[in-house]
Amino acid sequence: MDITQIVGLALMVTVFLLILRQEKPVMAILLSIVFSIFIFIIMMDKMGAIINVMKELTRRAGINYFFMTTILKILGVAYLGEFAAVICQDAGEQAVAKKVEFAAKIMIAIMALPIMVAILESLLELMPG
Amino acid sequence: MGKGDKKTKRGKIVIGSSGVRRARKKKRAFTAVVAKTEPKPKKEIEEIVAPEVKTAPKKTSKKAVEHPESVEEKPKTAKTRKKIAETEVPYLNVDILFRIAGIGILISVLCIVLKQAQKQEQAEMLTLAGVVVVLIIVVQLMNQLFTVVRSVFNI
Repeated sequence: MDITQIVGLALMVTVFLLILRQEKPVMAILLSIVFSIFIFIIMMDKMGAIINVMKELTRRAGINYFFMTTILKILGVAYLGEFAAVICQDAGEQAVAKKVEFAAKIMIAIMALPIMVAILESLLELMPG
Repeated sequence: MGKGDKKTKRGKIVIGSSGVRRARKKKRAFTAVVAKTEPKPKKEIEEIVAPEVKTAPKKTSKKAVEHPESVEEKPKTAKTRKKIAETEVPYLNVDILFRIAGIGILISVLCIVLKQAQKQEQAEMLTLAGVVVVLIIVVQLMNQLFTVVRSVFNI
């Protein structure tokens, strides 16, 4: 999908949202959810190509593949969390948005723990004694 | 009896026709293959049907004419179904967005009309129904999104 198509679609959706928000705010939020899902899925197709290149690079560099997968997982969690948080904020529910962000941060921290441990271990190996 | 009798198997083989006893084999073979080579079997059927009309009695020729149509219709529908399935699964349609916007605008207009007609309750029910309908679409899309994200990021 071309960028022009996405821009056109976004403008159309904005106009529809302006109309719907006055009459039926629920419908407006549902439409915005669908639009964000739409963009997300289109971009995920492109994302697959980028990730394939990154995997190829890690294979050539001989880096441990485990780190690559954790980074990918963190990326996915961050994207999904932001997706939900922005929609909640758009609907005017700040508290729910903050909670989603909080949960996403903790999930990311848990996923990043093994990498932290690996860094500490390599540091300990470097230290004498 | 023999080659000259069109009611016997031997006779039908010689004439090149088929009846109740001597069922045709070729057609069933190309029902499976038809998907790619659709224009060819049509010609073959016409060729098979043409001599029958000349030689065989009317009853058998009618059956033979009816039969190839029924055989040909099946692969066509299967093909269209396949096409629809192929186009729907990998790419999302922009139609969904406009459909939801349309549902929203339609429902708001209908609500205004119902409120003018002093039917507040029905207007409320209508909005509820609209929201539920759109919510079903949204949930299906969410499912699709999560499967895509899971497959891309290996979560």
